Amino acid sequence: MIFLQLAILLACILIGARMSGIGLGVMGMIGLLILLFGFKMQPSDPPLEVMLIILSVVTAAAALQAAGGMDYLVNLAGKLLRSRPGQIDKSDALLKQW
Amino acid sequence: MIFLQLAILLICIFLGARMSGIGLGVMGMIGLLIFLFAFKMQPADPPLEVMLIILSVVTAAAALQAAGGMDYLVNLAGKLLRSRPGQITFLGPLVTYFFTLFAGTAHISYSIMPIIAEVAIKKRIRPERALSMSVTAAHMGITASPVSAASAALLTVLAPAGVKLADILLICIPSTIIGVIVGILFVWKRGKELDKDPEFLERMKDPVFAKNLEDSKDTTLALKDGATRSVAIFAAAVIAVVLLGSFPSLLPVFSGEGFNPGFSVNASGQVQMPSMIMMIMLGAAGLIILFCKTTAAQVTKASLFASAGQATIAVFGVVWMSSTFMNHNAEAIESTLGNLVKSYPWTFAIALFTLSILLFSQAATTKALVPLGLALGLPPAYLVGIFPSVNGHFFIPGYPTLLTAIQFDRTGTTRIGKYVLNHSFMLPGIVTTVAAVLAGLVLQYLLL
Repeated sequence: MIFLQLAILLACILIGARMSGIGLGVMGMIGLLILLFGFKMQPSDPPLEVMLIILSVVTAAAALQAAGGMDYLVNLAGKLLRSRPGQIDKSDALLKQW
Repeated sequence: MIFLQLAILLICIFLGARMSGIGLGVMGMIGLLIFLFAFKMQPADPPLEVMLIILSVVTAAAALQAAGGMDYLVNLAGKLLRSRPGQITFLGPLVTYFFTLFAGTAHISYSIMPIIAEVAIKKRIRPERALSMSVTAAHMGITASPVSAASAALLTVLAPAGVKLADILLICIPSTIIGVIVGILFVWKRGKELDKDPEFLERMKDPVFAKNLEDSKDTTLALKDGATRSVAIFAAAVIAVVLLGSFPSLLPVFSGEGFNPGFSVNASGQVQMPSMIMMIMLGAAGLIILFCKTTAAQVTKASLFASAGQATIAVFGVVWMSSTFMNHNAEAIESTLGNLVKSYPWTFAIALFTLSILLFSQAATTKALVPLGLALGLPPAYLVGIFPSVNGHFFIPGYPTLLTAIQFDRTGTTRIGKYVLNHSFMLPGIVTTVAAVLAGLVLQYLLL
């Protein structure tokens, strides 16, 4: 039984990942419906806190983007990089670590 | 102290409403931070279920839009409206009502309104009549739809008091239909006939305008492969929601070892209806992406998906802030308003109406204020009866459905008057809302 369930879980994840974007979310719901009605499994709590944090943080980042703040940061990074062209390898690596 | 807090609450709501979109959500959070750190108020629980239902239901509608299902429905509506052009004042609002009821969002009315305007103008029927009532009917459809965020919000508030989704539909569908029909009768002969309207005659003197009016464009939208299939999947999901909401015995029950109640399972072991709606509607979005010719990327690019995000954030902030305020001041509010609401329960409908003017959202209004109604001792059935009163957002002419109707009426009969509030939608909106609330009160008395 558990292998069948695992197969459904993996199939939904695979198909969802191939869709990309919201694919994992909608395929996850189809998998959940199968587990609920097909296997009578009790649904656990959804990952509320993570979802709401994503929603809030990304909305704040979107506000930064809409207000041009992202552009400002990119300009800042550009200035920093151009000021020491000889150090570009190091600073590039440093920025990526950020 | 309570007045200072109320002032902060109202300022945040005003500023947020003026921002529109996610404005209410982000200003609500600012208000909440002030309440939390300056007034040491304990934050209430955020409106999780309503937010997730909005996200799921509107994502499903966005999938329908991306797969071309909305276009199919619009074509269907167009065919229906064009087949009886003389009845446009009657059919326009009713068709809009039923399509909104089905889709759970007033978005579809944006595409039906140009058709209504065109049919009415060709028949020389004053378009203001059909258009003003179509906007009102679209709003009414939201408060009767099994898959709208507003009904879900009412359900989450009243479910602990024993109200089922079927009860809400049983009262709200007939009451809003009665409201819409009363509204249609009200506008039936409203305003001058088009060929006697001075402004229209003035515009007709321009030969280009007159010729444009007669040009019949073929507005039938080209349908994608799988458009009808997406409508069938969406319809099956709506039917599943209605069935599970009407017959709770169909909901899976858990008990015995390893059982513990949580977000989606209540203490008696039954899966909760809000969770069921989320699973079914998001699952339907999945099936639409799987079996209709659309992709997950197209769904997120559909205009409805952006409005899902907006509505979720808006409800998140404004309801969290206002329920924190109400929980903190529960005693003061109950002692001042309790007697008034007990002697004149209908005043609560006016409160709902007023808040919805500010919030521009039926779901946020319901989730923010109906819990207070329960706390003040109003019977749950009574609250179902007055549910259509959350449709006050026609009052200030800023809601997108109103603006779309004005924009598509090339004759200029649908308009915002000199004093802003004397716009085309004011009287039809008030007549329809009052009729729907009265019908709802009678129906809940007879049926619940």
